[in-house]
Formats: sequence, structure tokens, C-alpha cells
Amino acid sequence: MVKTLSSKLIEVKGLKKYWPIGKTGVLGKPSYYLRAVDDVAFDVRAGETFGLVGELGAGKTSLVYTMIGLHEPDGGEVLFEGRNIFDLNKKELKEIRKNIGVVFANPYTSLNPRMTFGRTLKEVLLTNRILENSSEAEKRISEVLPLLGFEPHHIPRYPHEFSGGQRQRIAIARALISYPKLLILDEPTIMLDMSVKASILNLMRRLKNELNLTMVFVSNSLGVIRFISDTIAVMQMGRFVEVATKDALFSSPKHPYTLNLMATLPLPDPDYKLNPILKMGAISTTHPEGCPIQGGCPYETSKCYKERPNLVEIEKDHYVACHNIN
Amino acid sequence: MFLSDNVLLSVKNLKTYFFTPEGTVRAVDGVDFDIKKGETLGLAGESGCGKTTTAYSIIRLVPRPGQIVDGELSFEGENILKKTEKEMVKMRGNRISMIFQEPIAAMNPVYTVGSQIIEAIKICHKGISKEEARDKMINLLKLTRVNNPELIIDKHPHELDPGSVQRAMIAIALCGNPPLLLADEPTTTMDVTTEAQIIELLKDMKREFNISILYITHNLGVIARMADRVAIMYAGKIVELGSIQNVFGDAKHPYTKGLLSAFPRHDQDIDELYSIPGVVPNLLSPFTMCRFYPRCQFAEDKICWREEPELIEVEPGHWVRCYLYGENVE
Repeated sequence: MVKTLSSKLIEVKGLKKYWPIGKTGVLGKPSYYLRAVDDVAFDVRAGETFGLVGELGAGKTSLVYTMIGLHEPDGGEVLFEGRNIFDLNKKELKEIRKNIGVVFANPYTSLNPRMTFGRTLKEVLLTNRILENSSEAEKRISEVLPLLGFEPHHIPRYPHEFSGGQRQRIAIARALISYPKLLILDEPTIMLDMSVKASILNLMRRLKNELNLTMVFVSNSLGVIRFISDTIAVMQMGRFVEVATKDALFSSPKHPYTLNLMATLPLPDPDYKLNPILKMGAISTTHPEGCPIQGGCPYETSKCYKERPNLVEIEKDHYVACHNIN
Repeated sequence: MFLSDNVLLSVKNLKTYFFTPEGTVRAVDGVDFDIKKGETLGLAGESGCGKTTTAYSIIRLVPRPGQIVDGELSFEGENILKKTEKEMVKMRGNRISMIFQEPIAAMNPVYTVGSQIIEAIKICHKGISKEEARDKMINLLKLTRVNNPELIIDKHPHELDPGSVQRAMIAIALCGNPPLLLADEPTTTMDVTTEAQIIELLKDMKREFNISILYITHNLGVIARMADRVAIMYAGKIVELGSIQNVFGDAKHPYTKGLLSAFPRHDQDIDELYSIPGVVPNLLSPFTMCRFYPRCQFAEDKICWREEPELIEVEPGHWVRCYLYGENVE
């Protein structure tokens, strides 16, 4: 699945994003910084789907937004095809952004209500000067429509005339129309209903294979991530705790946090038994010194209270951040 | 569905319509179910299928332009629909309580969490002294396993994490020892770990106080974990009802089957998820055929569009609204 020979499309090195919390007054200093993204490094190869999974507030969205320059970073670099996007000036950054398509979580707010479907797509092509004129843009639009299950009669319609699932497909069309090299999907199914969610996931998986897309797919659902990804990173409190290929992660999860996540997700199956690993309620919700799952982890030692573990490669392409696994 | 002594709430042919300028939206269109004493009934369905409206109808808080137009709600042998607003005010909190989806939004932002719990305790226990109320509050918060009750009572809702606020909400809901708790997606906005804790808490509370819970959610996994029985709702009607074992282990209705195979399981490699074709029907026009017929892969042209199927019992305690089962099969 993972094309080890293909080149790295995007490399993230030591990326940091700290949010100031509790600022008082105009010149007041923040009382502390929330380390939403704390020294994260990974790379995404061309043709690969990188799944990013974590609970609410793990820093997933902060990470992808910082990665594509939508948030100001507090450290680190992101190399897109070898060029650090934080060193670029506005014009160069705009040039790079043409190559990155983004699908946001909420299809009810991410589309302009005053723009028809057709104009939404055409705008991307013409504003970014990807295509020269309107007729070329229309040709490109007619290529993309059937891929997403739309008919030509949908083009003059406005967003409110579409259902939630259709709106999300419009958002995907908008991200795909500019021939992006990288597609970022930030929880694209979280706002959708159960039956519609499945159709969007099937669509993404089909498009991924047909168009050989490179994707960064963010979700809080392990099931969704398993369905779509090739490589998976489990994120907790601003850092990766485990990174592995899909098969390795699900056949032999290593980190206690990953194990716990897998064992506490309820399934609609009467015979499925939950088996939590971590002691519930004991884990701090703020950043402690040391490992964030201290206090609830059955394998913990005194070292876990002093030092936050770094990612270590324990098998080929399988990284775990835990002091007690080797 | 027969009445027995064990039944706490019995809902019969409940119809709640919204009279909007565009027309009448039949949000709840003939819902029947029972909740036994000490039982958790899960009510599952997609958004807009009438789950929340059913709960608001039970507590008689349907917002305008909604109106309960028909049906019978018998709670502890009394018909709730015949009660006056004054009697209902006494019932809410004391006999039937409710917890909501977003605990922080459900609380009043300008009062501390503690003062809101005290207010609820004072309403439920008339004439209680300040000290007694405070003791009761601390006890309730300990029961709902808030880590440091003394710390949270002087805080405002926005200063706390959703898990703690939901625990405080549960404390408020339980302060009048109600026999019935309506839980409307209480964990939807929480992450997996907090969700698991709140579910365990509700299960323990149910055992300890022998309360019945109507648990509403769109997450079938949570239902399997939380409820004793489950009702699957589609477009204002219950299409399948039975024990977790029956409904999730041996689903009968095509809609339930579809939902279960559309669920992206994390313990299996899946190549393609089943996706139910079509969209949820418009509730503005009355139905003359099976509401799932346009999306159903098993639909038969002869019967399914002729009239709506009835709920029939396919095995003891397992009810399905579908022509594929029972004696209706031609």
C-alpha cells in the first residue's frame, strides 16, 4: 500500500503551534500557552493517504492548518516539494497553495451561499489563473462533475438547494478542480448523517485510487481512519504517540493510548466487549510534565512523570512514543 | 405492546406536528413504545427523524410552532397530555428530568455551576435550608464523580470542561430523584474517553436509583453499550424495536441493516461501506406508502407502496415495521 519508493511530497519538521490562553488587557501577557502542536514531525509521500486520528482537542486541526500556512507557526518548518513554505513571500505562497486543496468539516458554512455551484468551481480556476478563460474552466468543470456524481443541471444551483452530503461533495469538487497535488480533509464526515457518511467515505476511497490522490485525512473516528488511510498517526495533546502503516497499527498497536482508544470505541454489535486499558478519570486534561497519560497508564514508571517520551522507531515504519516499550 | 405493572412510560400513537408557513412538518408521526421501570431504551435515528421531538413531547416542551396533535402518553398510570401546565411544572425535574447535548450551552452562563445546582435542589425540595442544600449538592456531585466538587461549584460553566459540566447537569437532573431521565445526545460533542466515562456514570446512576432512561443518539455504538432495548426511528416512525441482541445481532428492517453495514468499524478491514441510496424523505407531505420504500433494496412493488406497514412482532419482544416479515407477505 505505502509506496516507499515515491518521493516525499510534504515534510513536516518540528512543527509547533502554541495558543496563548488567558490574555488580559491589550498588552497583558498570556497566563500560559496551550501547546496545540508540540514538535510534530512527519512526511507524506506522493500517492499516500496520511490519516490523523485523535480525540477532541488533540491538536489535529491546528496541525493541518499550521502545516498549510493558515496559522502562524511557533517553530519548525514544512517543506512542500523541498521548499519551506514559511520562508516564502505572499506571492510564492499563493503559488504553492494552488497545489493544496482543502475540504473543511462543516459543509453548511464552508460554501458561499451567494455563489452557485458552477461559480464556486469556476472561481477557483480563474482566480488562481490555473486556466486562462471561462470556456476552459467550463470544460474542466464538466470533467469533474461525473466523478462526484453530479449532473450538468446542478451547475446553476445555490448551496441551500443541496443536501448536506451533496454540499460536502461540492466542497470536495472545489478542492479537486485545481488539480491539487495534496488534498487536506479536516473531518469531512463529522457533520453528516450515518447513511450519507458512508457514501462520502466510499467516494473518497474511489477517488483516491482513480486519481492517485495524496491526502491528509483528519478524523476523530478510528473506523473512518482505518477505512481511508495508508499511514496513520495517533495524536494526543499536541504530539504523535504512535505512527505506523494501517496494517501495522491495527494488527499490533503498541502505545497504551492507542490500545485504549481501540478498546473503548463502542460498536453496534451485541457481542463486542469493551476493554479499557487506561484508568478513566485519572488522566489530566492539562499538559503535565512528562507523559500525558500518567496517572492512568498501567505500565507507568517514575520516568513517565519526569519526561515526555519521544517517538522511537521500534519496527520498520512503526514509531511509538512510550518509555516502556522496546 | 401490552401494558403491565412494570411499565413506567407508555407512548401510544404520539403525533407531534410543526405548523410552519411552508406546511405541516410531521416530525413525530405515530410513535409507540414502552419504557419499563429501571430500563434504558435507546432511541436511534438520523437527524430530523423526530428523536428529540419525541423527548420534548414526553416532557411537554415542544417549541412553537410544534404541537402534540394526537396520542397518549401514560406515565405512572396518568396521561401526561391531560395535565395542566401548572402540573407539568411540578413534574419536570421531580418525575421526569432531561439532560442535553451541549452541557455548557444548556447551563446559564452568568451563574456559577454551584448556584444552578442549589436552585434546582431548592425547587425540588421546598423549604430546604441553605446548609442542607449545600450538603446535598456536594453529595450529588460526589455521586456523579466530579473530581473536586468544592472546586467546580464556584466556577462558571465556560471555565470547566464539557465532561464536568455534564456531570453537574446529571446532578441537577437527579436532585429530585425522578423515575425517568430523558438523555438527548448527552455525549455527542465529547471525545471518546469522556463519552465512555459519562456512559458508565449513567449506567451506575440507573442501577443505584433504579431510574429509567430514554437515551437518544445517532451513534449506534453508544446505544449498544448503554441501552437494554433499542428503537430505530425513521422519518417520524419507529421501524424496528427490540433488545440490543435482537436488533443489532439480527437486524430485520432494511433500514437498520443498512445503517449497521454503513458503520465504519475500526476492528475490521472494509473495502466498501454500504451506503443507503437516496435521501431522507420530506416530512411535509403525508405518507401513503412505506416511508423507506424509495430507498429500500428489498422493496416489492406490489405491497410496499400500497400502504404503510404496521409494527409486527417477529419474535418475542422484537418488532419490525416491514412487509418482508409476518403474515403480510403475499
